[in-house]
Amino acid sequence: MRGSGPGTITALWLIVAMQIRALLRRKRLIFLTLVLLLPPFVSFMMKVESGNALESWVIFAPQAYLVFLVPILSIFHGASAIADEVDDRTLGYLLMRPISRDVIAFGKVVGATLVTAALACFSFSLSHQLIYWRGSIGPVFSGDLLAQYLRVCGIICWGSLIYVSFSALLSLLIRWPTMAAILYLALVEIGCAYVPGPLAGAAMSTRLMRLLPPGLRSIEDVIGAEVFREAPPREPVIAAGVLLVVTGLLTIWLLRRFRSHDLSGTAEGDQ
Amino acid sequence: MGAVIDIDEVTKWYGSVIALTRVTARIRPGITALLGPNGAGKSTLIGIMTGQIRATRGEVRVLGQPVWGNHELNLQVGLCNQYDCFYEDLNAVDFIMAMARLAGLPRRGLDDAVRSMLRRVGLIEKAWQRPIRTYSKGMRQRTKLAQALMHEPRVVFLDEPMTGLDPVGRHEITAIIKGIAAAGGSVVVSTHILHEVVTMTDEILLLANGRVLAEGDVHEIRSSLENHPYRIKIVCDRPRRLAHALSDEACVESIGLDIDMERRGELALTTRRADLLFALLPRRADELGIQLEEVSSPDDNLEAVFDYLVHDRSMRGGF
Repeated sequence: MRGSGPGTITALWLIVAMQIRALLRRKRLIFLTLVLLLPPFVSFMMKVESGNALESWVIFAPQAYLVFLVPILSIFHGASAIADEVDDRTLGYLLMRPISRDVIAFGKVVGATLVTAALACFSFSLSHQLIYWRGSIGPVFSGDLLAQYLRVCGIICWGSLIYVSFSALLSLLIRWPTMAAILYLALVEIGCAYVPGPLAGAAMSTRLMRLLPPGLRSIEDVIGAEVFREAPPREPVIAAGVLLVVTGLLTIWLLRRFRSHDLSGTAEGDQ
Repeated sequence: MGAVIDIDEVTKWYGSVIALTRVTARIRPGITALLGPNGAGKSTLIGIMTGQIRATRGEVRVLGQPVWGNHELNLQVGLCNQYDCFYEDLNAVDFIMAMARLAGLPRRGLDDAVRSMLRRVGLIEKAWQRPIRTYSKGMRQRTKLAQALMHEPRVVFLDEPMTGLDPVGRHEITAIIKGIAAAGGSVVVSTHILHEVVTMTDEILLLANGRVLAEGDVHEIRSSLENHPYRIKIVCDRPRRLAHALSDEACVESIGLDIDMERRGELALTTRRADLLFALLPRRADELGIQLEEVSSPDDNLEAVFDYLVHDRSMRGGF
């Protein structure tokens, strides 16, 4: 039985499916799921304990998802997307198929992004549902609330893609990508986001926060955090532009790096 | 006959360690054994020939095409690597199916083709639906071989394919390898276990310390080793007589005699012109009425070539 090589879409789909399957079978998913259940739990506690739950939630939720959860989840999934296959020496199986390396790398990033975004969106859905619950599910996912919900989910997906690409790229460049990515997260994404002034622009989470709907970023002077500053009307557009450029650059860099990646590391010592 | 694989001045460095030094070779159709002691550079060379490792210098062409960055070539190339690595949670059918789909095989009839391939490599049927992580070493080896052959490649690279197989398994895999060659395919088998190769092929590429020590037909290589005269063993009914008759022949360098209690004897000769000796021997035996029972050359084989070449090189300080 001979083939003529899979089409790009078929190959991409197969790689994405394999990546999703691989991530869903990792043991660390249990730990990540527990972490993801924290925001819904906190939302629930806010609802039960506080009479002013909504006001607290609009401060808590964007931070929880865009500054902490999405980056952390993406880092674990992105760093392992390619690196785990290199470590397990299974990448060789994919490289021996008649499919381009771009498709392999892109498929892995898309697969990891889908898993990350799906888990984060699911967690956000729970939080959203708990906070806006008025006795039935209908009003929670309709009208302005639905638009707000979908917009946040879109931002979560975009954020996932950026952080997954970033950490996947790191995994091709350095030996300890997860550690490096966590360091970056602590110093830049969290550190800079809470420093008022231009330094905040270095954090992708700041840019992502500026894309949030007004209802979720209307509180101005909360702990002086740059991420909560009331954005002028043009800022979301600038933030989106910057994020687009960053996404493009990261993707191109990742594909170029993967194209020239060889499995020397796995053969060294065996020769 | 044209070369299937052209290796041209290939050098590979791992940081400050050199794995291959200006390796040049032409691999012809059929079965070729890539031989060498551990650390000789066999796996690195296979990695380069399959486009998984980039040569620091030089170029490899398979079926006339460059290998690095040429994913389309993988339609015609299969690799069974030496590592015991798998998507452990998959079972053999799902694993081979996924690899076959990625190789572009049509979905229709694929299930039957995968099962047929698993039968061909001898993976027992009751294991097909079990996760690969529960497989024995031999079963894993057969699964790896199946994914390499599933898309019917024209050139197959097998890196230590017999590892973990029992004698029956080795025999079966050897038959499969010979079958690929008989069907017009080419197989490069890397191993450091010589007796694995002896039954498969005479065509070798011998590496040691990252360099090519010998390339081509093992008997031709043997005859070109001028430092090592052939040893010829002759068993006959009147060894003293034969030894006396041969002692004057120019092509014979030395003669040793070993006679047992039953007066049956064994002559051990050395010669640099085995062709002349083999032509002369039956004539002389006939003239003298001596019955030859066995004539053999214990060092006209792969093991001897390997020993001589690797030993000579280490004596010259090559290692």
